[in-house]
Amino acid sequence: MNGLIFKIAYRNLKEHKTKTLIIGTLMALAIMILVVGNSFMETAARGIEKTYIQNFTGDVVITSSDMESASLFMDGSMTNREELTPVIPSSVEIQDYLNSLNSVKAINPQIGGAAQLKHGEEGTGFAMLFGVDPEMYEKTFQDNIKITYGNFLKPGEEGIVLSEAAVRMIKETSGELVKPGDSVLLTGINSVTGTKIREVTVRGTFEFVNESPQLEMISFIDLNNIRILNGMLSYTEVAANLSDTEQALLGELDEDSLFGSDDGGLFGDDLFSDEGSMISETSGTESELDYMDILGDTSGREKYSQTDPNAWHYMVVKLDDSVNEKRFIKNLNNWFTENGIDAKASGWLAGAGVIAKMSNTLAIVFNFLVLIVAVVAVIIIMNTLVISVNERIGEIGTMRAIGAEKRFVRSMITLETLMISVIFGIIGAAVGMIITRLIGAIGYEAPNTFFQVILGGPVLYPVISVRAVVISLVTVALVGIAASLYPVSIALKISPVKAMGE
Amino acid sequence: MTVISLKDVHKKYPLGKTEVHAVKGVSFDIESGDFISIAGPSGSGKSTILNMIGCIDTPTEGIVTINDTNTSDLKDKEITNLRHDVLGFIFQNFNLIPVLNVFENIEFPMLLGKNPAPKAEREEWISQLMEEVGLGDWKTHKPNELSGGQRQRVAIARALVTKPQIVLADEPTANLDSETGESIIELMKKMNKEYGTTFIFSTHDQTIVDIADHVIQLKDGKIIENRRR
Repeated sequence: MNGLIFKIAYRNLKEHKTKTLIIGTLMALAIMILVVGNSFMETAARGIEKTYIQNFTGDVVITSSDMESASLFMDGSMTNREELTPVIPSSVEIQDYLNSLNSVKAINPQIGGAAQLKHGEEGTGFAMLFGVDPEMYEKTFQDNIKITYGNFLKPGEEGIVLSEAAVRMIKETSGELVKPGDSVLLTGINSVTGTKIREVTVRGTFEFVNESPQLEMISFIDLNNIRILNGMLSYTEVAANLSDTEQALLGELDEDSLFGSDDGGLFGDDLFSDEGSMISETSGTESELDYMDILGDTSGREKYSQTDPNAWHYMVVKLDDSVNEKRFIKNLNNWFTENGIDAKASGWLAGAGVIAKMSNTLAIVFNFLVLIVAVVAVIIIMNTLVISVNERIGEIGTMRAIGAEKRFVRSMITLETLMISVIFGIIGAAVGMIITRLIGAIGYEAPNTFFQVILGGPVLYPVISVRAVVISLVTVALVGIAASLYPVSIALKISPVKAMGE
Repeated sequence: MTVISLKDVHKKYPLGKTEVHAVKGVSFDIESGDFISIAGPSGSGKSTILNMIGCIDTPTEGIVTINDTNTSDLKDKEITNLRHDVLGFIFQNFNLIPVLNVFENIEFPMLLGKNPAPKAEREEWISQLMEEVGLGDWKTHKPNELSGGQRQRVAIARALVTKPQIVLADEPTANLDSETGESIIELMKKMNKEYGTTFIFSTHDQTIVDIADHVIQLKDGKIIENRRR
């Protein structure tokens, strides 16, 4: 019986060419758009993923749990400077743990920041800053930057490696080209130490091998300077520890004791005496303090203005190719929880920021539009099939009269629609693949910066996505089945008595 | 042996705000091997009675039994199987499947069965039938390549291919010229004698009435005559 159903369905398609062509062309067009569109999206997404993983985010990005966004480009936090960007707690412990894992290929701890640039009198610019350990950075991200002038940071060396875009910005405002050896002033603002200005030596200029408008503002800076700019100091972690005398001194001071008493107050008669002594009238304690001892001892101040060498905003981890990233991230987050560490591990996309996510969002929007088109296609196909069924009332009624069950009629009409879906689906997929191949050979040039960002570069060479082809074919088949449901229900209601009248 | 029995059968159809009482209390029996004509003018209810016998319509009142089975008690699948196994249909408009050729149209009911006969057996039987109806050389022709008479012959062969007990023919000669109509009737008579198939005609063709063994005359939904030769 299956052979009979197939024979009738096939011949009916041949017999009713107009209907077949209308429905078939719609389906072929839809699948062609799906194949080309999804191939574009997938190529762009894979390109962005590869670019970001290989060059910026690694496979895993670790941050403090208090960090709203794991984006290395500090999306959101750039505009909210009222709070310090949280540092990763227990960073030493985390690094030790990661280094013990075979699945970890490389680790790059990193600090993010931003600063206004000033060169000379008039040269101004802006830089997003990546504070890195040069050895660890170069081990993790090999060959991702091209030094255009000078050199990259050396271990232990303070300085900045400016992006070509920053150099251009300064040149536009001052007419001068910044060279290695020149100094630039970096102004950063943070909520702990306020405005910080650092004079930093330019060690070199560079550009990323994989260009992207999002990345061209990044410059690399040594860790000490960026920690200072960010207010990432040791004292922010340690509470002030004062001696009893110092506590008493601070507690008892008032204006009279400072300036108004007969003995001259705090400083005595000899304000500027080399041997000025400090007399403190404390309850039950009178001690003569050597003023110079206290003010001459700057070890406390030095201690409190030191940068915290274990303060990091991010830890970028590269995994071995065989490792499942999702499982690794899950296990790492479990480890954080078990060890009471308030950190979190995220995938590359979280580290890539808003711009990279835009590509993902675009794919979702595209598929949503495709869904709308699919609904419209279902309606058009359904109407065409209803007309076809109405034209065959006599034929269907006769079949029922001479013993065809309802499932025979259902199978026949559904199979007709499926055959159209498969045949024209294959044609549409083939055309879509040819178009993708052609564009892939020529390349699609992004018309503006926005497209450059979402396509992951200035030119996209789309590659046929097998996944897209398979999903498109399945989608079209489902559309066909959905479209046949109502016409089938009409056909099943055709009673044999109608055959008498036809 | 009684194969079909109608007992006080009524059929009413809604027609707008009124009701048409097409069949009014009809009762008769049909014996196995009958060549029976249900005759009457247009609107007398003959097609309606044929439809109810053929289980493609149900009575409003009364009972229709086929082989002692009350057809009103059957579900859709059971009725479909009954139509396939016991009944054969010949329609006024031939109602052949346009995309199948002559051989395939005749073969169609055989393939609907649960256990179709082997291909060789089917081919032999269908070839024999095609010879019987005079279409031996038209095996691969489509219905639109045949004359009216030839199409009706295909329909007759199709109706007989499953060797049904009963064949229902609704105005089988209505769309044929008189000469062709006569030859069709002769053919069916021959089938009736050779295979013992019960033929029930709904017709106002006097030729059929004249050669029928059993004639039921209808007028305004009632039997006015029920005679056997």
